Amino acid sequence: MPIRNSLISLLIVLLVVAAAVLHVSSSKATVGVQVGEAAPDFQLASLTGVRLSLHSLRGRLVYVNFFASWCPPCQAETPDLVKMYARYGKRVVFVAVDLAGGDSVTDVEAFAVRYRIPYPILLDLDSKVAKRYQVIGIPTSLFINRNGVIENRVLGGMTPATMETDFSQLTGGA
Amino acid sequence: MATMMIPVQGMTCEGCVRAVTHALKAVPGVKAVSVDLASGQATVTHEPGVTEAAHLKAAVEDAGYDVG
Repeated sequence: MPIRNSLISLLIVLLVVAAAVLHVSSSKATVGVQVGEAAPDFQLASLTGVRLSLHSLRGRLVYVNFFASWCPPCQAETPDLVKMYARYGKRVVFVAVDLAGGDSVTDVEAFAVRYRIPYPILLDLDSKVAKRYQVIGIPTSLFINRNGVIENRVLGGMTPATMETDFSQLTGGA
Repeated sequence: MATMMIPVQGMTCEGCVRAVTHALKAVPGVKAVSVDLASGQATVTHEPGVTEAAHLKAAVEDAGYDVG
C-alpha cells in the first residue's frame, strides 16, 4: 500500500510539473503570426455592427477565416465551413474576417445570406488585420488554442477531410 | 491540393502576367498558376504543407511586383 501511495503521489507531482511547464511555455509565446506564436489581438466590427476582439475570446478555441466574397476558393470552402460550424461550433468560436477593402458590404451581406453563415463576419476595411497577420492570399485559416497561440495556419481552400483533421486536432480529438 | 487567390500589384501587360506566372510556378509545391491582368489576381493551386506563404510572396517580389 505505501508503494502504491508513493506512486500516486509521484504521478500527481509529475502532472503538476507538466501542467506548470505547459502554462509557462504558452504564456511565454512571443506575439507573432506563425504557428507557435501568440496571435496578435485585433478588434473589428461585424456585419451587424458588433465589435469583437480576439482578446475577448482568450480561453476559448478560435478559428479565423480570412476571405472575400468574390474569391472562388473562398466560395468553394464556405459550405463545408458551415458544416464544420454545426459540428464544432459549440467548442470552437468561428470568426470570418472579410478583406473588405476589395469587397463591398452589399456583396458580403449577400454572401452571408447565400451560404447561411451562422458565425460573425468581421470587416477588415483597411486590411490592417490581414497585413498584420501577413495574409498574402485568401482564403487563409488560423486555428488558435485556448492560450491564444496559433496551432495551425492553412494556406488556401480546405477540403472537408482537411477541415475535419484540423478541427479535430484543435479540439484534442474530442 | 488547395487553391488560393493572391493579389499582385504592378502588372501592366501580358509580359508581367507571364513573369508572375513563371515565378509562382517555381515555388515548391505549386501545381498550377493562373494570373488575370484585369483583376490583378493570381490563382495558385498548391500542395498543402509544402508551399509556404513567404516563398510565394518572395517569388512575386523577386519578379518585380508586389503582393497586396
